[in-house]
Parts: sequence; C-alpha cells; structure tokens
Amino acid sequence: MKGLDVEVRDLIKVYRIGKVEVQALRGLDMDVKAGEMIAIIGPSGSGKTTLLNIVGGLDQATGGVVHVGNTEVTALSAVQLVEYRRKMVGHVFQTLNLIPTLTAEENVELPMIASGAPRKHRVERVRELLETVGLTNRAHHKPEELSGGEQQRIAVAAALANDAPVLLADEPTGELDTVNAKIVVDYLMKINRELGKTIIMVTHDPSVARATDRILRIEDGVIKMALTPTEAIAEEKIVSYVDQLRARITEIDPQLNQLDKDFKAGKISGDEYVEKRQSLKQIKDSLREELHRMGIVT
Amino acid sequence: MGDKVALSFGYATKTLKVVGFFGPEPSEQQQVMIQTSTLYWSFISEELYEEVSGYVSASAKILLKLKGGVDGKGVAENIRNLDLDISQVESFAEEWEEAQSNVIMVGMLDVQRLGIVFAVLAASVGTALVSSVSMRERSREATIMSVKGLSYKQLVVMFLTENLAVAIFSMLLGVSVGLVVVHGNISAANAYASTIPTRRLVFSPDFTLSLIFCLALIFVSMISPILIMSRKYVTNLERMVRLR
Repeated sequence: MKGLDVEVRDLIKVYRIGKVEVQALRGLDMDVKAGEMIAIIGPSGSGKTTLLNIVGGLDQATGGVVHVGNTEVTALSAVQLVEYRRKMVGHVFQTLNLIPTLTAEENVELPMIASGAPRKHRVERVRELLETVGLTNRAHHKPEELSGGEQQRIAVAAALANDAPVLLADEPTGELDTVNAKIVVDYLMKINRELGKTIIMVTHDPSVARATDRILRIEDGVIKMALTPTEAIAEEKIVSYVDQLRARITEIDPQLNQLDKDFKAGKISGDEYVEKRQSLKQIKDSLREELHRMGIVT
Repeated sequence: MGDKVALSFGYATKTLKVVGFFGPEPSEQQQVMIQTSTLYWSFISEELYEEVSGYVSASAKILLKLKGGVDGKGVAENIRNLDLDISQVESFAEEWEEAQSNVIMVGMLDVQRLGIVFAVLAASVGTALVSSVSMRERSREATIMSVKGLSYKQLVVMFLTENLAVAIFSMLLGVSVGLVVVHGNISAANAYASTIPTRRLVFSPDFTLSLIFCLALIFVSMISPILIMSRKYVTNLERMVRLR
C-alpha cells in the first residue's frame, strides 16, 4: 500500500504524574503528504516521541485530532488501535524493536502472524522484505548475532511486514555509528522512494535529518519551524559543531538523573539501569573525546 | 501353591488344595507370635468349616463384606441382637467411629490436613510468584509484540500456551508422586494391620473435589499474573515503550 497523508490538528497531550501536570504537546499542527519523508528534530522533552506515539496509536491524545488517510486515529478505541497498529503503521525505535529469542525472519514474520496472514504469504513476504533491506543471508540469525545497523534494518523490514502505508521511526540511528546510521537512512530513503511509504522520523542527528524531504523543528510541544534540507544546512552553519556537541553533553546529564530516579522508583530493573547508564556514559565520554580532539577542554 | 494336602479330621480324610498362604514369613513368626495371635487366622470356605467343625475345636470368624452405603454399625447391632451362637461381633464401622473420637488419632489427621492446606497454599503463592516474575522479565517482549499488533487476547494465549505445558507436567508429576506415596503408606500400614479389612485408597466425592480444588487453585495462581500483567502491558503501552 502506498503512503497516506498524515494530518495533525491542535494536538494536546498532558501527562499527570501524581499532582503534577506536564504538558508535552500544546496544540501542535502538522501536515505530512502521502509518500513524503520528514524528520522531526528538537531538544529532549520537546514532545517529539509523544507526537510519534500518538500518531502511531501507542498513546491517547488529551485533545486535538490526528488523521492518517481517512482514519481518525484519535477517535479509535483500544481494540481498534490494535488493528490500526497492525495494518496502518510500522514502528522503528532506537532499541525496542526485535525479540531476542526469535531469528531475524521470525521477527519480520511476527506482525503478519498477529494479523492472521496465511503461512505461504508470510514466507514469501519475509523473503521479499529481507531482500529489500539486503539481509537475506542473515535470515536465521538472532538479533544478538547481528550488528546494530543490521538489527535496525531488520526492524525496518518488520515494520513493513503488513505493508503499512506509514512508517514511524523514533531515533532509528540513535545507537548507531556514522557508517551504519547512513546505511539505515539510505534504506529508509529507498523504501520511501521505491515503495512510496510516508515516513516520519524523529532524530537528533542533523545529517540524518537532512536526508529527508522536510525538517520540522519542535520546541515546547509545538512545531516552531519547517525547513527544507537546504535551509537546514544554512541554519546549521550558524550553530557550530562544537555547540552541538556541548548541547548533546548537556542533554545527557538530565537523562542520567532521570534514569537514577526511575531506578530508585523501581520503574526499571537493575540490569536495564546498568545497561542504559553505561550506554549514556559511553555517549557522553565519546562526545567529550571528540571535543578534546578538537582541542577544547571541558 | 497348587499342592494337595490330605488332612484327617476324626475318621474323615479331606484332600485340600493349597490356593494361597496367609500369615507372617517363617523368620518373622517368633516375633509376631508375641505381638498378636490374630495373624494365625486361616480362611476356609463355609462348607468346609461346617463339615469339619464336628471333629475339630476351632473358632471361626465370618467375614461380611457389605455393599457400599450400607450402615455397618446397624448391621453389627442387628447381628448381636439375633439369638445366634456368636461370641463376638466386630464391626469396622464401629472401630472407625471409635477411632474418630480418639483425640490423638483425629489430631494427627487434622495436623496432616492442615499440612496439606499449607502445602497447597505455599504451592499457589510460589506458582503466582514464579509466573509474575517470568511475566515481568518478558515485559520487553510483550511490549514489542503489542507494538507490532498483537492483541491482549493473542498475548494471553501465547503466554498461557507456553506456561500451560509446564503447569500440566508439574501437576501430573505432583499427582503421580502423591499417589505413589499414598499407595506406599497404605501398603506399609496393611503389612502390619491386625484387622481383617485392609486399608485402600478410595476416591470419594469429597476427596476428588478437594483434589480438583487444589489443582484449580494452582492453575489460577499461574494464569492470574499472565492476565493481569498482559492487560497492564497492553493498556500502558506508551509508558512501556518510553521506559524501555
């Protein structure tokens, strides 16, 4: 199925944590044309992931309307949302994509099992999708036997399993090195161009964002700016690479604090805490090293 | 066994075929003789007894096996009231009733029952804990599956199918081991029994119901965490995705 229009009007999302209300989205408007590939950028906590989760049927909006094609996502019941997730959207996250106990082909097959597709069709489709992402030879490998880039490509294949017209990618290159990030983005572009899917991608990486048709900057729960890749490059020159590195380092500290809080509150397990903390520390250290290499002492 | 033995009773000679032996092993006889004399009973047919009773001075016990549901105590009482040349009427029903009023014996049985109740409760709590820990460990898996379009029902069916095989195997193993142990206990008790009626395992309606209740309780303990936690994962999908 070819891509569909995505229309977001006056979208509001309020989280209530005890007595505290956090307004993640404050009347956000957005239009994505069928077959378009857009990037959403913005600082942490600006509402990028919340927007993606509501469009993807993972979260309910507090107010506003989201249309994907002729479907009013915000009006769907919990049961209808399951069907919507099966048929209309495919998700690619930063990490939460593949089931570790299943092989690559089983992971791709899973969404089709959920939608009750016949076995013959599933086998054929898995073969076709693995070919699309160039991983036919890795079909019987488990996620742990695949590189980060390969895992994300399998995740992209799984997201396309039910031929969803809209692909939502939440920082798909967030944990990848530059080379693998480029490969994954190239595959997303290939899917967008060859299959005509609508792709909405959240990213922190300006080079990844520049690969899309349009870049939307989100701040404080609203779209502040819409740029073409050319305009983005021009704007980027104003913000130096050093500033970006510093900004990312500054973002990591609150993430570490939040992680500590989540662990103390028992929201995450010890293993997960250690894993995420190490990952964030590694990113922070590598960013510091990069600054150091540039002769800047932090 | 099967040998024929000629026995003389007065002027009459009877040829008897050995169809079985009853009583302690020769090596145990000395010891048993001191313990009880009831182990020297022999079982012969009523006709033979009537035929030879004129020649030998033997006392006889007539074993009555009543049909299920018959009031054994009443039957014993009626026999006593009949004007028969019977020195003693022993009733298992009366002995059983007497045993029920025996504080030590009843107390032991109550302690045994209490132990079973605790064991079943502990097994249920243990099963529920294992099931919920297993579900918690698989939260990531459940979240991915929900995102990919698996419904609550599909999630529950998947987790149940996986756990059911283990649960059924455990239950069968538990029941089998329990039956072997009970049979062993009964056989041991019967080996030293001084009463004619031997103990046996009876699946009374109460017993069967209790067994079904125990199995159902453990089964419920297994499926409850699956139902509750799958519901939680599906309804809090956004939170689950964010926390991962």
